[in-house]
Amino acid sequence: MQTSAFAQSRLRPAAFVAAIVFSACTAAPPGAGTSAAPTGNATASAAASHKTGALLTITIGVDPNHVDPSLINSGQGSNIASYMAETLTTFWHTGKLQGLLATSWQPSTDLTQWTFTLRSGVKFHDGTPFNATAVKKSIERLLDPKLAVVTSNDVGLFVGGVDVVDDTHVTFRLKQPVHYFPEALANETSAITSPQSWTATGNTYEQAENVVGTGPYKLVEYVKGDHVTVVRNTEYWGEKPYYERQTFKVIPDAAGRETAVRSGQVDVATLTPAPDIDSLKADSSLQVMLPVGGRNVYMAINTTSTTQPLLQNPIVRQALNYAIDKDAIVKNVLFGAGQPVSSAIGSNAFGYCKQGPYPYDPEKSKQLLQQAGAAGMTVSMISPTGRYLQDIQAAQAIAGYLTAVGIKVNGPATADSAAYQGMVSAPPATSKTELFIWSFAPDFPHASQQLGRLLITNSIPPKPGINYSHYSNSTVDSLVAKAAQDAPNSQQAVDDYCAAQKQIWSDAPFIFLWEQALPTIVSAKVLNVQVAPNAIVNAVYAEPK
Amino acid sequence: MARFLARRLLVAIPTLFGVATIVFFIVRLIPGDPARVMAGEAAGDDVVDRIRANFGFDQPLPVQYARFIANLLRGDLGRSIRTGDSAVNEIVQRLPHTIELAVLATVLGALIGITFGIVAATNRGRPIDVLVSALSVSGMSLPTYWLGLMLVIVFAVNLRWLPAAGAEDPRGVILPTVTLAALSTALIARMSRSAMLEVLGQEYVRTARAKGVSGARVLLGHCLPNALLPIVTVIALQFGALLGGAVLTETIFSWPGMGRLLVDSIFARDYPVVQGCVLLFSVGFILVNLLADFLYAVVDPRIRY
Repeated sequence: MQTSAFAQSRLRPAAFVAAIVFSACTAAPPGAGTSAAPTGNATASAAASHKTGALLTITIGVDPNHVDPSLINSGQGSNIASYMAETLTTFWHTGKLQGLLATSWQPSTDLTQWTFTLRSGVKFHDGTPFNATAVKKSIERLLDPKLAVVTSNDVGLFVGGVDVVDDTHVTFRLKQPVHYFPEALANETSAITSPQSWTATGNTYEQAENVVGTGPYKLVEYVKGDHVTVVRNTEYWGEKPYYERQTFKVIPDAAGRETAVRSGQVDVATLTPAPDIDSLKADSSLQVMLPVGGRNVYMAINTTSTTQPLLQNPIVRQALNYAIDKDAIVKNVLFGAGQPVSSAIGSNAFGYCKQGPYPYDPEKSKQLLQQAGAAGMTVSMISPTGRYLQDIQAAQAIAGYLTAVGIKVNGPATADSAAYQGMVSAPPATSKTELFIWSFAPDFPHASQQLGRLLITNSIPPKPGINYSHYSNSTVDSLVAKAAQDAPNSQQAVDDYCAAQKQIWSDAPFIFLWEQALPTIVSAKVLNVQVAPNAIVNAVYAEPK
Repeated sequence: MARFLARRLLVAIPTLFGVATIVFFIVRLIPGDPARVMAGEAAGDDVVDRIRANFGFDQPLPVQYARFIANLLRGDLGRSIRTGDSAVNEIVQRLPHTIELAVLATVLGALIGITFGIVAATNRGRPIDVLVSALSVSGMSLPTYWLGLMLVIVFAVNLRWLPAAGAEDPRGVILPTVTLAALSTALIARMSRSAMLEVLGQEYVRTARAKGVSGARVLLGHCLPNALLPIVTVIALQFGALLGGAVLTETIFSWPGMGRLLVDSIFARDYPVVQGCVLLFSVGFILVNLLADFLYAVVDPRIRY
């Protein structure tokens, strides 16, 4: 049985109010926004129709390393931290931006100051009140280089300072105009934790082992390398969850996660081996979810390659795109865990506009190669092993398709994740890459981050960014810069991002491959497991069948 | 004896210093940058540089090495790049799991292995001897990951008697112990068999039998103590190897021990933790060898240091 990612999504009543307020605030002139105080009373009657359970166990592949949200640097870590510590805004439940600890927000006309109205009456797990001071201190701590782990996040990139207006209002002063600032704040690293808890027993300011937030679950224990257990927060301000406890169990081996869910030891398994998807679907005691998340996977092309200068020609790069049967790769290599990429950003992102996919047309590919004087050219290819679902297997298939149009492929050569990152991140002058598997999953589904980090001139190493294709186009640069100053969520912003995607699509800095789906196996006895837009399992409101 | 121990401990110091130096440079020779791994795929060089500075990786290598040795002398292994926590802490959290597994697997392997060895030796050439030899060869040749997965499929997935993974449930230790013990059992059984065979042919055994000592007393009282020396060596070496963390077994069963900590740390290029793990393994091996030497003197009164 296959369940779509967001079909099961339910809005919490309180968040629903925030969503309405939000849509109103985008249209309202600055300074005119008001916040509707959520009551949350509607939850009481609804709760009666839900069953409650004792324990839900979810297995994950990598240790979160931290539960302190300010130190989190992995998607799984964000997911676990979000049970306990909440952000001002979120994409978690519907894939659309909503208020969580904030009820509404208002930018200044120049988009450099954002004032958030905070939810009132919310308490941290330690009983201290959630208020503007806690927000200010939490964000200032996030930006403090003294923290044990340095994370990269857009809040750190943009925020110049935080001002407390009054108990329920806080203003962020930005270093530059940013129209997607509320989206950036949805990143779990910006979660608000109780300032008092940082120096409580077991914690240090640099690193909190016992995270104290406002979330629907509270931390019970984190045993490194083994599990994180959380317990229901009976004082939670919103809809209370249905499982008394949840445990995230670390099982690094994909086959191990599969056997754990097949044996009934765990209820939910993430990122199980792709080749087993069909046999898992056949098991009636399990549900198979293949939610397509924001992660696009590409065969990136070094557009400034000196070892194979033919790759500098967009016609050659288009030819490479026509040479690959993306549908066949998704079907036979990914076993259905994905869909062909149709633009340079994820299909669930704000500003997405469909460009492709490039059709599979080997004849056209050969013809373009001929036209560009690149027939029979030689390229080298590298791929990681297991960094992305079926990465090396797909690279091998791609090498096969390229050979079929007369290209000589050296490789794919492989390297482990850390060494691979070193190879692809070299600046253009010293880069030896030609074709390499590359991918990016943005922190929040918005064109700004994906284009800004991956495809503008200012993101080519050694500048901050991961534009490892070294793609540089002045039209794209100016469109992305302009869009960042358009009115938030306006049609103008969509149009600008769309024009940029169109240009990128025809310049083809990548062989556009697939949008990855995260195979997630859920016991048939569990209802309402959702997958967040960053393809992370969200089981806060899971309930027993 | 005390002089012997003191001398051996003194010799261990240059050994450990050599290990520390080699591991320091070898981990840095692996391509890949820990700061970039930690910064995540979205991070720019600004963040990467901040992390490097934070951990002192922006310093020249000789400076880093001097710092490492200086800190080491104070018992400070540095901070884990992955978690920001002290490397000592990371290791201390994992070590009990590894010791638990190593002790259980060694005890199980020794009990079954010695029993099998005695049974095979006393039934030399009979079907049961052939069976034990066949089992030993299988035990030694079965790949750990295959055996581990088979045990999981049978006992966790099909029978649902035992958990498939993790250390949370106390029963979770059973399958990894059995998996690890398989190899030890096989080695110990073979060693016990040949050691016992050697002893069984001795004159004093015949004498004991001739004067009417019961079969069991001959075996356990006269033969086993004399056969024990090589067996103790095998057990000690196996135990030492298990203390190094059983990487494959720990991965298959998600056992949060040292083996997995080391592998995860290598993948993340978490230099301080890798260095700490390797040093600890060296210390473990040195101590286990010392213990074996000590046990020799205990089981064989003829040995004096």
